[in-house]
Amino acid sequence: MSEFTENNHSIQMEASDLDINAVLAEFDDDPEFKSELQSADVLLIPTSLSLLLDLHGSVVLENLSPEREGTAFPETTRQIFDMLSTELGERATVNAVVKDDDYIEFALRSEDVILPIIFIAKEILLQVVVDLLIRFLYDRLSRGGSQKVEGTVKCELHFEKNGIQLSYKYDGPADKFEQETLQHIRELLSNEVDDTHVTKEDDTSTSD
Amino acid sequence: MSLKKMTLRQAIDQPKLRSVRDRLRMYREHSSSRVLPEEYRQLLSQLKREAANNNDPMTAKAVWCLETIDRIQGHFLSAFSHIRSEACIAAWTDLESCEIQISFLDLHFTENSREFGIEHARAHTKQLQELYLMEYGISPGFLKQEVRCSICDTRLTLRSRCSHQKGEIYDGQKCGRIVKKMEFLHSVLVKNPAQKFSVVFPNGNDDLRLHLVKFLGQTLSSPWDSWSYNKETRKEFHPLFKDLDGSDPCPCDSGQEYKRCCFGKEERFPHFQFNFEGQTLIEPPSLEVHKLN
Repeated sequence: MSEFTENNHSIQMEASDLDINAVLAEFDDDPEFKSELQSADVLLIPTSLSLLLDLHGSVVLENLSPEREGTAFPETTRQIFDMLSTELGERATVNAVVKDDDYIEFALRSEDVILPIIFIAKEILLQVVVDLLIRFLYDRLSRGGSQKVEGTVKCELHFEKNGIQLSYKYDGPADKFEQETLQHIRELLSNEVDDTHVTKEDDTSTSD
Repeated sequence: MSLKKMTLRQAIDQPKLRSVRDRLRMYREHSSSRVLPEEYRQLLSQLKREAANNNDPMTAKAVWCLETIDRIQGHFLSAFSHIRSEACIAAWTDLESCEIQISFLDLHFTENSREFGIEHARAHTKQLQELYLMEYGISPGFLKQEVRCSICDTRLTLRSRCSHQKGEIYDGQKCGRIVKKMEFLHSVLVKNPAQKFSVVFPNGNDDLRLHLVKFLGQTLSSPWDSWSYNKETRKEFHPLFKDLDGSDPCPCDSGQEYKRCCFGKEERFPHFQFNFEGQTLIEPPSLEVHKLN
């Protein structure tokens, strides 16, 4: 578990507070749709409006709906959904925890990027999803490489490692997202290699 | 020539578009923000309708490109016209419109060798925006509850789409997304507003940060002349201190003599030097730069 916090820059790797069964319980009255979600390898999860408003910015000039409750998806969601579905192809099923008629996007006219919350059910997909997010951000914020990457990124990933559900949360400058996130994910995955190695040794000793 | 094989470049170079094309190529001779007279615009509308009826998407797209070039040149000229009359905020919105139209055109058309002045407008719009020294914008946060395609009016959801691509041209119309139903939630101050219409000018057109823009408007003879600038910081005495004798009371109200207090203390101030079409560097009056601080 790790945490790094500086001015307007925080990175957290910790035990996940996401209860995916509770999230999916909203669709108990539609078992078919719920089953589709349960079988997905990557799920986009709506974010609470209060969190989206907080993520948008701290210097609020006008608040027309201070008591507004509910959830929504950030405006990057369509592109992320399309990109993950296309790039993962038959390797993984991508879905979103929302019915089409209920899909609402939170839009902000800002260069700052809020990514949808992503739940990765298969550990093996973690690295590829992170790589795809990095590519998405680079293309979006650098205008295809023609401009310097500016603005901030807010990202929240939930995944399992060795049976433990973890979360990775990044809130900071866009130009550091790639380096910082890759470093954290690689450290995590290299620990996994060590664990695998230990398991193999144990297996060998047992067979002897 | 087969319509199916015609490229966009070939479509733009068709004889029937010559009069409009030639006028847009003479951009250096225009000073009014209305580059194309009304009859030219009507001609383009008519040609676009005909192209759509004749199933000729490339000609329709060529017409859209020329219309967009007209808008880019118009906004760029209008920005300078406003700057000359010191209406800097109006100029700012023209520059933003110019930038937006260029981004639309970029998806489809790249000009050859300064043909229509697009690259000049792009580079100098960006430089001008930088001279405004703006830091903050207002970002509205809102919920998009119903979004439709501007071409076919299909409701677009996460999983259900139409075949039209955002930004593509269909029968001479750019495909966009229309938010039919939305809920405004709040507005916040941000450092990177995506659209610059909502940038903050604390003191309107009298904002001291606009002095560089006004200087440029007074100095530049044509919007189509090239210019660039260098920015640096220099150490200088504050203007309050420059006429003091050492034995005068220090203006910082410390109660000491100036020579025993703030004498010799320098401050850093931004300085800009302009280069107009390769001439020697010209500095704007520096006094107003001091007022920034």
